[in-house]
Amino acid sequence: MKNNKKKNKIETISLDLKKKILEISYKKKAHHIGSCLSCIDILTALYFGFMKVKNNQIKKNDRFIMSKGHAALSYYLVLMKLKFFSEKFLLNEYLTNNGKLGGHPDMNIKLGIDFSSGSLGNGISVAAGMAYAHKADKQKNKVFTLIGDGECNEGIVWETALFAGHHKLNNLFVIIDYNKLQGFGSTNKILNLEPLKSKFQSFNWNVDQVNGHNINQIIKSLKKLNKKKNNKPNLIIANTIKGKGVKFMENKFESHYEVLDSTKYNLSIKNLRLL
Amino acid sequence: MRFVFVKELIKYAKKKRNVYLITSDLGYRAFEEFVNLFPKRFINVGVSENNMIGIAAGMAARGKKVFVYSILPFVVFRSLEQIRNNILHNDLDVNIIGAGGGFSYNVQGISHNTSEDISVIRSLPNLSIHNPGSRFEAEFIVKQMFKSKKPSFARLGKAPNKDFYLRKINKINDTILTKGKQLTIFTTGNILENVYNSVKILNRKGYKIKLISIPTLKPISENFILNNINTKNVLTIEENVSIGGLGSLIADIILKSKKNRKINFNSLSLEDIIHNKIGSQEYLRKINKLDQESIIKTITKFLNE
Repeated sequence: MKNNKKKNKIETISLDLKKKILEISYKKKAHHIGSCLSCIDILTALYFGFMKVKNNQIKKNDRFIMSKGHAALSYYLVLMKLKFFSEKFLLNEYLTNNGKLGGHPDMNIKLGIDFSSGSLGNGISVAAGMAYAHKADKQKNKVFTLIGDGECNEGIVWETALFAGHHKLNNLFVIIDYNKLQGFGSTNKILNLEPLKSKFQSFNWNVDQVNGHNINQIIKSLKKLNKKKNNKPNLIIANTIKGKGVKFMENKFESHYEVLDSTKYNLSIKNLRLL
Repeated sequence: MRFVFVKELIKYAKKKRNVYLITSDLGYRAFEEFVNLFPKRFINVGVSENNMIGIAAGMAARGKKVFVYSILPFVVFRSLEQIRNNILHNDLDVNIIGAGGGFSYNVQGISHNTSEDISVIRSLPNLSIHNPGSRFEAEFIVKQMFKSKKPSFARLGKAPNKDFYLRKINKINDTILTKGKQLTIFTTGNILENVYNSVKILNRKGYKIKLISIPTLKPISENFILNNINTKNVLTIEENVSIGGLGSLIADIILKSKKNRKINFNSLSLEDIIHNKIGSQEYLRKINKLDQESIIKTITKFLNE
């Protein structure tokens, strides 16, 4: 029962943040709405259901790198919910001249942003560096990173996959937002990642697959991987839907670029209510 | 000079426990002592420069002082974006050590030799840039790297084990090697050997040449440069293209200053071409007019014009 209650609470947070994604993207004429909707369930599951993060205990926090930096808004909203900053601050700073919250996140420890991102492929490498340092210092904080599927085209992802497997970085948790779409079409047609699970397994990683919109499943998977005692880095392949919750955006790579007008905004909010 | 670097690094690593050395599978016959002394603070990431910079950035973000090591063009050109985004933008204590530079890798060709690394790296903000030309200079720059907690880069070319300085370098003024009122020469990096020997020969013949070595190109004290130009003639010599190199650095400083408008300036540097000729360091320097004989010719021609 307790678990169920918690799950519902996080689901409520996620739905609330989805509305905010649409609202703020509409206000700010922001792109990458599809990407934000694709990964918001993962981020809320991670931050509210598993990670140890408190805005007043920055040194002790687990670390997170938003490697798919283009979905920055969903990340900012989670940090806002954690009270690293207020909604007013977010509205004032996001995509504004001289603002602190750009289209891609810039490292700012006070705001909860553990590292900068924007250029794909780098997050997993930096996260592995952090994980290595934590292990060297026998620190218990874990390191998490969210990467995109298109991002896995980058060679550095596989350099790091080798490195983390070799160095047994079991404090590293990578989640792939696997929505099967990338910049200019479908992942399978552009550069097929399959078989993704066995690829990472062969690099000596623990790999689990989940429905990336089932918050309970994501949390369970994180807990399951965390209990493993085989000293392997961890990967969760989260099967997701780009634009999840907004029918006209779902499974369309164009939702990476689309900006909402008032008609589309109203329609998208109606769509979300049905969830 | 990499042996000097390793020796100095070991000295500081003994005092500071957060010092890490990361290599992309290079350093054979150079890092063994470090590995023996600090096996847990040495990481060979394998042949993967980009990941090396990412790992270094992550470790520095968690409080480590990191030195990364590779052959110059691999780390500068292949990993330029990682350096820019991950290290410089986030202001991390990562120190990039590039072996080679100029024609140090001689017959190994253009993949290993560089003529434009200084130019590219100099345009990056928030990065100290060192280019030592002798043992004492290398010791000096490692000391600077340990004084600072900000990003830095060093080009470690091949240089003879002897030194041109009589004593250790403690401050920037110590890099004035000869005095003279006829011509001021600025030089940087391991070409110092040839320049120093040329100047010695000419001064013995009666020329009056002031030679200043610039082991740190960034940050640079404009006042130090301007205060030391008390000759009409100024020449820069470097084993790098002039674009963005020492030549353009000194020219910029002179042109922007009000008091040095009548200076007769020239730079001896590598041509703006693909430097893909094969040969020894000596041969490659000779065909690029950076051997001792050519340097002497350039100087005397410049002064007699």
